[in-house]
Amino acid sequence: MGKTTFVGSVSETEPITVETTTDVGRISLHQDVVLYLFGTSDPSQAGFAGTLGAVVLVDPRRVEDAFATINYFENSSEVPFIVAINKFDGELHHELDELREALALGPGVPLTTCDARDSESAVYTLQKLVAHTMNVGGSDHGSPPEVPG
Amino acid sequence: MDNILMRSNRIRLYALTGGRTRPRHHLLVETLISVPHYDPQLSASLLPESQALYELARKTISMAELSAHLTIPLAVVRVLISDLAARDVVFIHPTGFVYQYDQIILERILDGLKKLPV
Ligand SMILES: Nc1nc2c(ncn2[C@@H]2O[C@H](COP(=O)(O)OP(=O)(O)O)[C@@H](O)[C@H]2O)c(=O)[nH]1
Ligand SMILES: [Mg+2]
Repeated sequence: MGKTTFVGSVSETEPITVETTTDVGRISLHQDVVLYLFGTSDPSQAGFAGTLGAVVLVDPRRVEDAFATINYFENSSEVPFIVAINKFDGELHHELDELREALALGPGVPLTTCDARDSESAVYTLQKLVAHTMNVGGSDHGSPPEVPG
Repeated sequence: MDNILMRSNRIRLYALTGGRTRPRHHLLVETLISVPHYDPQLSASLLPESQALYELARKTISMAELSAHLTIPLAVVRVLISDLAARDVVFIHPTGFVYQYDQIILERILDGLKKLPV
């Protein structure tokens, strides 16, 4: 929950909805670097080539809705991911530790909170994701896989 | 827009691609397209839909954006862009495998995110 809102609060363009489920936004970071954002409820969509990472947005009132997505990223994907609890009513009713346990998150998966409506919070969440990708990508991912012809 | 107009537009576009829906290139919603050497004469010779794509791609743009700006279905954009690429008039940017774990790029991304005016 909050995917369209999240993409909308950081994108410099109105999010574009393609193929009914995916919101596409973009942020120009430098003259030669544009970051594209894809909001989708189908995690297999997030595994495409060149994905820098994924933010799994969790509605704290319905954590179980995120189980399948987290399972997917843990087991079926190489894409680095972090989990962000969307603060739906402004505050959290559970400690992050409790939520980590409820989500059965591995210790290597960063868990954070965010308010998808707030661009500062959303950008901060993206920073955490990029920092995480830098951490996990450090040494053993040196040679990129071949680009399919 | 008027529904009937949209429908006929759509049918026409599918006709334009000759019913071919499997593009030869790997074109994803996020794939970036650009025009390496803009040629106004070439542009003038293109069919309207391809011309519109060619003009938009003068500034690097994603497949998703092309589809949205021109309200052409993504499947059709794929075929038209494939054809332009086969003629070497547009460039399909390789999707960012190479950048994924490139620490320098990641640092620049992080740095850019920190400097965003939010
Ligand atoms: N309070 C609060 N509401 C949110 C937040 N994120 C999304 N919403 C609301 O939740 C609803 C669904 O959000 P949306 O972004 O469309 O979810 P999507 O289905 O994942 O794209 C909308 O009414 C949003 O305004 C949040 O962080 N806090
Ligand atoms: Mg949505």
